[in-house]
Formats: sequence, structure tokens, C-alpha cells
Amino acid sequence: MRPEEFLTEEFANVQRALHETLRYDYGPEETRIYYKECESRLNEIKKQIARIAPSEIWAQLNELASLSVWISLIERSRLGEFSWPFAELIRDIAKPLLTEKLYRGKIVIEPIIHVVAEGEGYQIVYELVPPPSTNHRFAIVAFPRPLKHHVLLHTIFGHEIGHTAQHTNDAGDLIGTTVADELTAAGHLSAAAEITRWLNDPGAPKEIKNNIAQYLADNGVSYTFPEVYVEKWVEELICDLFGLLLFGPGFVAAHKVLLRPTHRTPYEFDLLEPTHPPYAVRHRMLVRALRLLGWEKPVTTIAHCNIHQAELATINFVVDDPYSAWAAFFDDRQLTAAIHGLQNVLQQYGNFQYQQPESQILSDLVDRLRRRLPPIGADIDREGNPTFTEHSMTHSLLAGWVYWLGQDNLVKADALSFLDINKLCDQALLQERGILAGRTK
Amino acid sequence: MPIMASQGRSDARGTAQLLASMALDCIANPAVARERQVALNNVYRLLESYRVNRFFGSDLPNQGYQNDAQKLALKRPIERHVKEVRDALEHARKVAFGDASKDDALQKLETVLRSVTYPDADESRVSHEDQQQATQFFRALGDHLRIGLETE
Repeated sequence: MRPEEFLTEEFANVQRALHETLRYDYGPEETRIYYKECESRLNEIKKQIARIAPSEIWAQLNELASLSVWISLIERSRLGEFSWPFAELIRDIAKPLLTEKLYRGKIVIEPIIHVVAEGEGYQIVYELVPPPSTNHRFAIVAFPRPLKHHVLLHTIFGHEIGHTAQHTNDAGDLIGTTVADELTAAGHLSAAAEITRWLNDPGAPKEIKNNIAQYLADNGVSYTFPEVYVEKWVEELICDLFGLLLFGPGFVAAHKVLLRPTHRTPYEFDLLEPTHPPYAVRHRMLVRALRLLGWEKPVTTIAHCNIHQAELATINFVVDDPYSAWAAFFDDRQLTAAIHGLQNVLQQYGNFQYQQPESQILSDLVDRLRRRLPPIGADIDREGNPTFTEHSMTHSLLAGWVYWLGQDNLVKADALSFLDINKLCDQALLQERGILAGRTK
Repeated sequence: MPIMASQGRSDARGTAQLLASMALDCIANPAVARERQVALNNVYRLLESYRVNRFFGSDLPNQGYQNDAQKLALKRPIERHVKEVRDALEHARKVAFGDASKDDALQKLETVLRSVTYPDADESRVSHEDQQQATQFFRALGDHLRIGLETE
């Protein structure tokens, strides 16, 4: 079989794989769009194969291989493996951010956001260099399968959406010029040499001093921060701010619960492959940003009694920052400018910014959890009629955190487990979406 | 290591090479461009990523290499060699446009692309010189990627 013949054979194989998928026949609307995109890509590839040069057969085979991965994912999107109301929330947020405008807006192309559950942690996979056959770009949102119900932790997707947005041409350009440029104009992130200087600061914690000394002993030269990783730190820190602005204090809580235990020490980072800044730097930045936004102030008052105490306990957990002053990476002016830049981006692309809830709303939502009900603005009035007050889904999630972190103030016995709280919050998102869909109809 | 591991899956250089070759083909022979609108739109997307996105091509030396468990996952592997694509675009720009600014060069390229892709809708005038520069650019891009792959 000649290479050209193998390419034709492989094309037919991938085409057959697509036609053998069943899910598109009975799946939700999004699955059909996904299937159609795969079909359209195959049609384009067929045209390409007709004129392919022998030197490009390998690249065309790669394109077919990638397409076969996308096709295999059609069958992998099982609603029973992740929180689909949260997945819908991610779709809502991501769609405007990832919608592309070609030729100065003459062609507008929406992304296809496909959701799956995987064995690993939170991820969004996005096509950076679109293959020639691409019409809609795919963005695959991967939930960690073991955390099926943990919607409070799913707010960490705010960080992942930030990564994807930064790699788009529209929102990504704006983030680059209005946020990244601010954070790198001066200070530690302005150059690799500045990070090296910061690592060697006399005020650095002993963990850093020991690591740097060990590096010198092992290699015979002083450690210098690798230039190629500076941009990675910029990206990661922007993503953290992105998550904060999308999900508010609940994002910082999830960030702390998920990330702190995965670091041996809060200052640790891999000297040879420093893909992420130390945890302490990220936490310090988030807490400072949260204060600059005024979100460290409780929304409930003393009149809300125990719920107010529970909210204070939550805030204390979130803003607790026991780390060295060395971990402060940005000054307030820089951080404020970056926050304003991101607020501007979010305003232009869907306006999904977090807003603090009104005191009574938060109090009512937490009270519903205390009564073991999903935290939504639904109730039965005195005449026995159902009532519904719409509010942001992020407020249901905040209520979940307030109940969990402040439960000592709320219940004396039989407190809900973290899993149960998450399940109730998941139910709240589901019910709210259902009610809103019903109203629209 | 699996036997097929030698095949470079999710290699952005191959994708960019295909895009450059299609752009060249369409500029030289506008009659085929009409049925290649989708591909040419992707050439435009690639050029835009290079022009405006500061994070484009910021992949790391070991990025995309997965552990055994990750290889079994069905997610698409992380695209590799995007940095080399950015370097090749940079090289091609220097070859075709010399010291002209990145914005000016890309503006010219995108105008040529638009005129080829949508000849009926496009009102801008594209000179013969612009077309030649675009040809030079895509040829240099394809060559640079090919040489990079051959010397690997």
C-alpha cells in the first residue's frame, strides 16, 4: 500500500467511525452541532486529499488522527458523570469569550463547547492552531470524574476559562494589552532577572533559600529563573484573577481547598520547570485583589444572627494569609489596573462578572441549606403559590461555602457533609435552570 | 513506547505547513480558492493569533508529553511545537517584508487573503506586488517548517 493509498484508507476509516456513532441521533442539540462539525471537517479533508503533495501526507494523517479523537469524544459525554447544570454555566460564560470575529467582524464563528468527565483534574482543551478543515473550533471541558457533584470546587473552572480566553484572538488580545502589559510593566514579573533577584531577596523564606543553595551545590552555578517561564507565571496569575472576578470569594475558597494540600510547602515550586508561581504568591495576590474589590466585607449584618457569624467565618477562611511578606508580588496600583482591565474584558464578553449578593438573598439561601433544601430563591407563599426570585448562580455557590465554613454557627448536630452541601447546591443550579427554561417557554 | 509514538500527533507544525501550502495554492490559482474558503479562513486565524496574541507559541520545552495514565485519556493531546510555528511565522515575515512593522505586514497578508477568499465581497485593491510578497511569505513559512522538521 502506497502512502497515498493509506491516507485514503485512513480517511474512509475515520468517516466510518463517525457514521457509526449513535449518540448524535438521540443526544441533546449540542451533540448534533458537534457531529455536523466533524462531518464538515471530513468533507474539507476529502477536498484536501485530492490535491495533497506527497511531502504533506504525514500532516494530513495527523489531522485525521486529531479528528478521530474528537469523534471518539462524542460518545464520551455522559451526563451522569458530571454536573450538567454547572457545565451549562460554563458554556454560558465561555461562549462569548471564545466566539471569533474574522475579517474585522465580517464573519462570526461560535465555538463548540463539548463537556466530558476524565480521570484527571479540571481542564479545558482548545484548538490553538486550527486545522485547515475547521469551521467551529472545539473547546473540550473536562470535569474530574470523582468530583461529579462538587460544584463548590467547580468554580476553579474560572481559572481554566481564563487560560482558554487568553489564547483567543479577540478576548486574548484585550487581556494581553490591558492586563498582562500592566502586570509586566514593572516589578517582579517585568523580566526573568527580576524574578531571580526576588528569589535571592534576604527576606525570602527559608524553603526558598534552601532550594537555591541546594541548586548551587548540585550544579556549581547560581540559580537563574528561566526566561521562557516568565510568560507562564503571567498567564497563571491572570487566570487566578479571572476566576476571582467570575466566581468571587467562592473561587478563593475552592482555590485554597484544592491547591494548598497539593503543595508540600506554600513556597515550593519546581526550580527547573517553574510552570506555576508558589502557592503563597497566588493566595496573597487573590486575597489582596479580593480586598481591593471590597469583597472581604460581609453582606449580612448582625440582624442576621448566626448566618452573619457563619459569613464572617467564611470570610476569615478566605482572607487568612499567614505567609511571608516576601510573597507579595504586585503593588496595589498594578493589581488595581489589572482588575480593571479584566473587568473591562468580562464586560465586553458576556458580562458574567461576580456581584456581591444582597444581604437578604444570602441569608435566605443559607437558611434553605440549614433546612436541607437546595439554595435557590424558590418558596411557597401564604396562599400556597410557588414564588421564585432569580439571582446569580454564584450566590447559591457562595451560600454553600458559608454553610460549610460557618456551620459551627448554624447547626448544633447532624450538620450536612461537604458532599451533601455540594449535592444540594448542584440541585439548586439544576432547579434554577429548569425554572428559567420553563419561564422562557 | 507504543509503535505509533514516532508519529507526531497534534504537531502544530504539520497543520501550519498544510495551511501555508493551501494559501500558496490559492494565491497562485484563485479559481480553486472558492472551494477552499474554510481552509483560508484558518490561515487568517493563524495569522491573527500571531499578530495579536502575546500568549501564542508560549508552550514550554516539555509541554505535551503525557504520562502513561494521561495517554489513556481520550482528551486530545496538547498541541506541541506551537512555538516553532511562531518562530517560522517570524522568519517568513522577515523574509517577505523585511523591516516593515508586524501590523503592516500582517495587514497586507490578510488583505491578499481576503481578496482571494471573497473576491466578490472584497472592495480593497490588491497590487501585484502585495500578491508577490504574500507568496514569498507563505513559501518561506512552509520551507522553514519543513527544514525544521527535516533537521529534527
